[in-house]
Amino acid sequence: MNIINLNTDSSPKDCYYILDSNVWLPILGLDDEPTSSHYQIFFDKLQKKESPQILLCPIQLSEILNRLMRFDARKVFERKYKNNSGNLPPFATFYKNEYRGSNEFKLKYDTIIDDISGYSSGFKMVEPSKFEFDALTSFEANKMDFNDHYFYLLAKEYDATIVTHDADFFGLDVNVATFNLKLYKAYKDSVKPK
Amino acid sequence: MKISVHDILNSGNASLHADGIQVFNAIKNSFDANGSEQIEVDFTNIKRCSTLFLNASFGNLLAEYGEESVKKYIHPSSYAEILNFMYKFQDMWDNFINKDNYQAYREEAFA
Repeated sequence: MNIINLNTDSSPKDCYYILDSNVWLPILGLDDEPTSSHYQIFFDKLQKKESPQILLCPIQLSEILNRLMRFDARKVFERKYKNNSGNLPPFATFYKNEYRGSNEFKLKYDTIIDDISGYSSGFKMVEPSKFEFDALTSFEANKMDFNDHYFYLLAKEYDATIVTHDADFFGLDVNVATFNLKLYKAYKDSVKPK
Repeated sequence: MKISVHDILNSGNASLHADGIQVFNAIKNSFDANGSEQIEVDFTNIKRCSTLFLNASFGNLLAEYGEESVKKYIHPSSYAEILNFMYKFQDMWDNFINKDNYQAYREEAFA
């Protein structure tokens, strides 16, 4: 693995990038912490490139949509039931039976799609060419989740750099770029000769 | 006073973080210079406006001046051509003013 410290050089190189879902979320409106703006600025730079350098796959699109819709559903649930002292429906029931058919769902969904669609000139939809059960499922499932393995397969195939703020891709044989200094230092320390 | 988003960006797309920061700076300069004058943020000829843009522009204004001042003095206008503009705007506002209340939901989304 090669780790790139974006704090010292945040100019996108001539390669593909896969943005971890935790990097996509602040771009699509869900700010988590002050570091979000670093990734938003990096995303701006990628968007200004002449040809698309961001890789996006359907699984990641689904993951992003689900997380953003769930966040919105939590807010709608709270607004609707916050003064209700009676029996509240379980959140999962509310999501399926009330939220999904609501105007709030439609507005939120259309808004997310509109935002992503506005960036479509900057990304390319891809799938791994080895789209076979064995390749997709042969990984250490106790160490990483299926979607991250899927992004790893894409990164390997396209020689792409994964942009992330967490350690999920730590130790894999792909390039990782981050603004997370703790992550960067932890990796550098781990490869220092003893 | 009217501030044209199109004139600042020279584009019909208000999409990027940097776009929002440019508009934020223009509004901030005007607000700091003119005090209690009403500011109309004009979206004429803007066809697309992202949540990222709204967070970087109006979200930063809310952080800088607070909800009451922004509500009182700074208003978006002529946004009819932009899909769901007011929904996006109100959602940005809601997320900002309820940032602490929504922290658990945010953590769930990022988990």
